[in-house]
Amino acid sequence: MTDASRGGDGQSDLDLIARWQRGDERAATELVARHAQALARFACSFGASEEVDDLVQDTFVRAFNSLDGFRGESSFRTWLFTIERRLLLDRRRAEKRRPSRVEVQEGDAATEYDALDSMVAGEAANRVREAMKKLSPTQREVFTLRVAQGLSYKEIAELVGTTEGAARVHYHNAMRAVKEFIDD
Amino acid sequence: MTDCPNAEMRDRLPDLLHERLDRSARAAVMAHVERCANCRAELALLREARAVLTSGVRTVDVAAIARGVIARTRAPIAVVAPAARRSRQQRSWSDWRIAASIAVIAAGAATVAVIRSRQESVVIAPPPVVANTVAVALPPVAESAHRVHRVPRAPVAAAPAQNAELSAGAGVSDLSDSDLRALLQDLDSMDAVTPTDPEPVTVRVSMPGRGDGGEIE
Repeated sequence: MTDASRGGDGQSDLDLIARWQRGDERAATELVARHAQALARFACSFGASEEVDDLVQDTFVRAFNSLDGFRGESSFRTWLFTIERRLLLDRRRAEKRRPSRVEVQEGDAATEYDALDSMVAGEAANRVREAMKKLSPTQREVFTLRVAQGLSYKEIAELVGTTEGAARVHYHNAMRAVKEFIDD
Repeated sequence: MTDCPNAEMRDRLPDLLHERLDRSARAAVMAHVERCANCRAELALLREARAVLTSGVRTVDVAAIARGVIARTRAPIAVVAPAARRSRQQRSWSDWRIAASIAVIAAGAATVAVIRSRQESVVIAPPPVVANTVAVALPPVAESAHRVHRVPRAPVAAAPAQNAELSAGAGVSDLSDSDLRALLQDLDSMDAVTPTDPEPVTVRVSMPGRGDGGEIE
């Protein structure tokens, strides 16, 4: 596996974090540049279509304010995903309390894919989208992390709080279900 | 769509899609995909799924996000604290160094002061300022020709009026012959009796070979 936490300048995320903790703002900018787009993809893959920039910024702010809690056991990007995922769930819970909004269950991000229907052309894409709606919330989350983000099973396990083996099983069950739906 | 029996290769297809394989692993998976129709079909499905899942993603303004993040987390405690701790540690060390330097300098200065005071008492004869002391210059001795011994002066009641000149700072050698003679006369005329009678002294002497000791008063 390649090291996604090392940029073109050869500096690792941990190097940049150390520089930022010494007050080097360029290191913070580099960390944002390195991971912001991935965080945006992550947010969109879980149904966040509006205010993605704000969500990404909030994620970095929360991460930078709690760098003492980052022990380097997982990659910095996975840790960022964990924070962003928590923010997404918090926002959905807050939206859920608003009476005017449609209730959204945790892990029910696929319901928001409907808003993107018009943006995606092609029958194959629609079939894939429909197939994903049939997945359980856990299968859908693991499948999304594996396919849309390219995370390893280990990273997925850390992110969703399960074991590496369970993440692998969820992924393969999801893939089998999608195939079966498309073949029907 | 049928699953490829090679589960290991199938497991790595998402990593191939995201370019997360090293050179050798990538070559192995690519070689397998070229000859496996099932894996080619699954890889195409993965591409489609990724496109669906990321279709709504627009490019974020990284520069604006970075500015916002820095503005909202500028000078956080976690950033300042290590530097401050380091500064305090450095300051503590430098404090100790300064204190040690001052102590060494003070000790050196004290040593020099003691040595100088000793040299002054040896080389320079300070004028007798105290009224009840008389400086008497002794003849040259081994150490120094200028060494001065201070001796207790006689009681003031017995001192002649001329002695005031001595106590003002002049030595005996500064007196003229007539003054010296007058001084000697005064000394001769001084009452040499001590102000108090000595107490009787009892001396006990033991003689060897005798049982009792003799006593002399």
